[in-house]
This record gives sequence, C-alpha cells and structure tokens, in this order.
Amino acid sequence: MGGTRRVVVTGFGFVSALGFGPEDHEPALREGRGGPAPITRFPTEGFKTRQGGQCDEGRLERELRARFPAAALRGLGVDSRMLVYAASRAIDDARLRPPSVLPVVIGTTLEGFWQGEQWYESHSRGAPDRARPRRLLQMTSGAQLATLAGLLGLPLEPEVVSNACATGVSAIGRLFRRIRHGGCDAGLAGGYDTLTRFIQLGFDSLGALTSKVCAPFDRARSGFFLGDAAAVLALEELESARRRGAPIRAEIVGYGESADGHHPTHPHPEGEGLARAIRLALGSAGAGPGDIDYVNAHGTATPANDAAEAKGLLRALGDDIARRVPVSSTKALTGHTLGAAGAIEQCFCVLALERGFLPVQANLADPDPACPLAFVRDPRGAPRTAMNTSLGFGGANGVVLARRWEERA
Amino acid sequence: MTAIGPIRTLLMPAPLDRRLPEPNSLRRASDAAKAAVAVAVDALAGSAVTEETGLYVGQQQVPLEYCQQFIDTSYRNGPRFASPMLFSESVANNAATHLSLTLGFRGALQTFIGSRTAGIGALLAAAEDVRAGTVESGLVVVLSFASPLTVQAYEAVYRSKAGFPLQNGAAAFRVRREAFEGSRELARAGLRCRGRTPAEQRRALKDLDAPPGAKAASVFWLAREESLAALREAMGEILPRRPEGESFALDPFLALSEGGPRTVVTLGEEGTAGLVALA
Repeated sequence: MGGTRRVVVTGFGFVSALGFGPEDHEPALREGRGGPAPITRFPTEGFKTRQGGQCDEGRLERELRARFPAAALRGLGVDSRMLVYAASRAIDDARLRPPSVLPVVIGTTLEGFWQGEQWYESHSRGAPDRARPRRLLQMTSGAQLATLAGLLGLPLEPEVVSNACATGVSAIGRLFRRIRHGGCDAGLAGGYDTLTRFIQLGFDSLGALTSKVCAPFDRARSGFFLGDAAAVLALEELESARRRGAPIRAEIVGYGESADGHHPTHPHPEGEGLARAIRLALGSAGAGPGDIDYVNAHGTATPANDAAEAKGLLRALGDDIARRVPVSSTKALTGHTLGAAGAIEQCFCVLALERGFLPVQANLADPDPACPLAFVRDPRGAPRTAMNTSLGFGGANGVVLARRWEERA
Repeated sequence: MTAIGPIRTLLMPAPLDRRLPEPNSLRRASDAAKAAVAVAVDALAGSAVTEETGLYVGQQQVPLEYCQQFIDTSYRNGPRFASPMLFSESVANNAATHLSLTLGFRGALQTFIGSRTAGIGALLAAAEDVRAGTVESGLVVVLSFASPLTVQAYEAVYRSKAGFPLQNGAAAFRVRREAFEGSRELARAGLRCRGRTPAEQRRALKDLDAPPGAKAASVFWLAREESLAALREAMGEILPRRPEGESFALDPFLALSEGGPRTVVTLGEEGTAGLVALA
C-alpha cells in the first residue's frame, strides 16, 4: 500500500439539528439528547412519517452574516448555506491559509435538490412565471462549490463524491489517501445533505422511516428519521501542520472501502462487505481489532442494517473483541443525514478522542440479541482509536480509523 | 506511469439489451445504468474484475428520468403512491450499483457528480488509486443522460425558447500502472474552481496551465459570451459544437476517443474547469 506520510485533523466545522459545532454537540452526545421534531420545511400531509431533524435556519443565517456580506448569501439554499458554514468553520478552526490551491472532496447525495424541488413544484403546478428558475443555478454541487470558492476567495480543486449513505466517509477516505500518498499536503473533506420532500417521500416509500423514536440496535427498532447536516474536516500532512503550528485534533490512520455486490438497497445480510472494508482499514492503519476502543456505527435502526452491521463487526473484529468494544450510533440523535452522515460522525469520533468521552447509545431499551455488541451506556471513557463505519445503497461500505493525537516516534 | 486504455463509447440510441450480459437482471434499470454496463463490458474486453479492481463513475446529472416519474406520481396521486423502485433507481450511484451487481465489482466503488468535470474527477481518482497501489486497476465509466426535465430546467434558467440538443451516451476505459494493449499514457489531469463569475472562470482556466495545442472539448450551448471569451483566451481553439448536441461530462472523453486532440479542457457553466492531457 505504500504511503508513509501521517495525516492529521487540524480543524472541523459542522452543523445539524443538534446545533452548531462542538459546543452544541458534545453535551448532546454525552447525554444522548436529541431526536426528531415535526417537519416544517414542506407539507407532510399523507406521509407515513412526518418528523425529521431540521437545522436552525435562522441561526444559520446569523452565523453566516457574521462572516459574509448579506448580498453574497442571497439566493443560497439551506444546503449551500450549511456547506459554506461547515467549510469556513473548518478553515478557521485549522487556521488554514492555503498558499495556492485547496483540494476539496465533498460528498452529497442530494446536492441542491431543495432548490430544484421548489422550482419543479411551481413549474408542474402550471405557474412557471412564479417558479423562479434562478433557484436552479444553485442546484448542482458544482455550483455550490463554486459559490464556496467565490465566498472564501480561494482556488479550489473540487471533487464531489456520491456513494449513497457511505458518501461522507468516502470523501474523507479519498482525501486521506491522497495526502498520505503525497498527492497534496492539505485539504477539506466532508459532506452535506438537506431534508427535502423528495427524500422524505423516498425513504417513506421504502418503509425505512420511523414515526417513533429512532432506536438503533433495539429489538423494537423501526427505522430512522432524516436530518439536515453539513460537516467538513481539514486534513493535513503531519509535518505540514507542525511547520505552521496548526492545532492537531486527531490523526486519521486508516481507510477501507468495499462493495457488497449483493442488492441495490439492502446490505449483505452477513455483513461480508463491511467486514472486508474494516479489515482493509485496519490493514492500512497497521492496526489490529484489539486496537479499536470505540465504534461509531452506521446504525440506521432498520432491522436489516443493524443486524448486518453487527454481523460485519463480529466477523471482522472477532467475536470476543466485537462483543467488548464500545459501540453507538449517533443517528438516534441527529437522524440520518445521508451524504453528511459519515462526515459528521467522523467529527463526533474526533471530538470523543480529543475530549475523552464516549457518545452514548440513545433510545436503547431492549438490545436485539441479533446485535450482541457492547453499547455505550456511560459517556465516561478515554478512547484512543475510533472506528467510523458507513454502509450505503448499492452495497457501498466505507470505514475510517482515527487515533487520539499524541506525539510518537 | 499511468496508462489509460482505449476509450470505448456508446451513443444513444443504441440497442442496449443486446449488449448486456444479463439483460433480465437490468430490465427495470435506467438507460443510463444499462449503457454503463454495456460500455463497461466493451472496455473490460474480457479482463477479469477482482476485489483489486476499482470502479469510478462520473456523471453530471443523477438519473432524472426515474426521479421525475417518482415525483410526478407521488405529487399527483399522493404520498401513498410513491414508488420505492423508482426511488432506488433515482439515487446518484445507481449506475455504480448496477455495474457492481452485474459485473462483480467488490472493491472501491466511487461515483463523482456535480459538474461537467465529473468524468475528469473519476479519472483523477482512478489514476490516484492506481498510482498509490490501493487498487490494481481501475475502470472509469463516464455517463451523460439527460431527461426532458434537464432541458426544461436549462431553458428556464437561460430563458431559451429554442432549447438545445443533448446527446446521451457513455464512455469507459481501463486505468493501469503499466502500458497495455491500445493504452496511452496519462500525462496530466486537473480540476480547478474559483467561483462563478466570468473573471473567476478565466482564472480557473489559467490555473490549469493547458499546454499548447490543447482544445476546449466542451462548451455549454447556452454559455455566456464572457465564458466563451474566457475559453478562447485560455485555449485558443474551441472544438466545433457537436451537431448531435452536448454531452456534459462525457464531452471531453468523446473528443479524446475520436483521434482528436491529445489535450482537452472543459468548463462547466458554474465555473469548474478540468483538463486531461494524454502523452
């Protein structure tokens, strides 16, 4: 595999229904506080489920206005705004001042679908004059990254990945590998997605959404709720970060990816693909199953995902270790944020490693015997290595390993 | 070195079912997914797909035909009529999913979207992974499949009553570390974005530092005159518009596959610029 350069996280920025950045999220993760609320962004009459995790758009506007001129923000949808917030925060947090071009690997499954959806609704109702087609100019992720480049005044090297629910980890994995193998010294990686009518309807039609609490790994689990989020991490080669005296939050030590090749929407029931991705991530980190101190699981709370994921963990880590490693799925709190999920969950891993705690497993009353894992009940802990798993439509699996930052020879 | 195999292309309309290894398993798939499989089979030319083979798909648009059907049905008839089949066929990595299921890809599986440089993004990722040894070889598949909704959207944004022609199609080629039959060496590929204004587009093109003789392979049919001027200034020459219509992310690869220039540059209407140079 080559690659000997070490890759560190020098900054992050994130927003979700739980709030903005580490200050809002850490208490929620420690206490298992959060969950869905009635959707107000679009009408939900006739939907089987009417709850979701919307971000605070008023506060988002205020946060952005504190940094950017109002005119520059005009016409941007909530998706673009969240992305700009997370990316600009990550740059500030890392004190990143790129000398030439900044590689940006961003993941999304919906891009600016919210704008497209509003245009199409007006258009299809026979009111094209009121459809405001300029909304469509912010619909593609390319346009959203161009807006980001313009606002930040930075030349970007833009890549947009879309690997369904594994998108966020794919983006981080891509940039990690690139830095590790000498393709660049620093860049941004992350993901974003917005709760829209289309996506709510889609997952509703699949029966994947719950109208109760989201209870990953519980015997009575009945699915997830969808949520807004954007999360961006600044990754940097260690010596580059040291040279400029950058703050170091954690180290990314491994990445693995695989495809199930099993079913368009269901994971492999034995977790084979996930197990392969975990082994590849461990191999790329030069680590073993016994090194893992915390797993932030994909944990969507659907019957199929959680059982398959548990089997994948057991298969890759071995029965003994997999039954002892602390595991939680933070989707119980944020909801499933699709293209942002892997990225915001990576931010949670970094936060847990840096501040020494374990995000608790919320809403777990009766653990499913098919998921014989050690779920986090108590936030006290000091994990040294955290594993972040994501599984997506099409059988895409991605696994990122991060380590608490400590100087070593 | 990084070697890329002959670029196989497939332009629509094409008798897709006859070209598929398992037409029955793809009967409900979109034309984009079917074309992806057909052109991938052609590019693989019988070489084995293993866990060490990465798959990299680039496409500007998601499969909007099913997406539109899904929305129309559920909006018109109510949420109860939302079709899970249409929804799962609407996701952006749908073509990668069908390629994985049909041809057995079990390794890296990446889909790149968002601009007409998405295909170049897929090529860049494959080349990086091959160079780094994280995959033994890569298959790049570039797609351009527009729906009537795409046309309506562009017409609405650019206030064009005349519309503009679109050519649907796909391209695929293999990427390896050493030369192989019919391959050419990838000298350079790059992406840049500085913003959406013509001045920012001009600077993004300049950043790419295109070598002499490079040609602009793709020009948005409704491009603003300023964007065209930026391209002319940076490139000197823009390839003639294809009478069949434009093909978004596919255009650079169509140009390279036709014995045309060795270096092509593309500029997205949103300001993302990309370059591919073959030795």
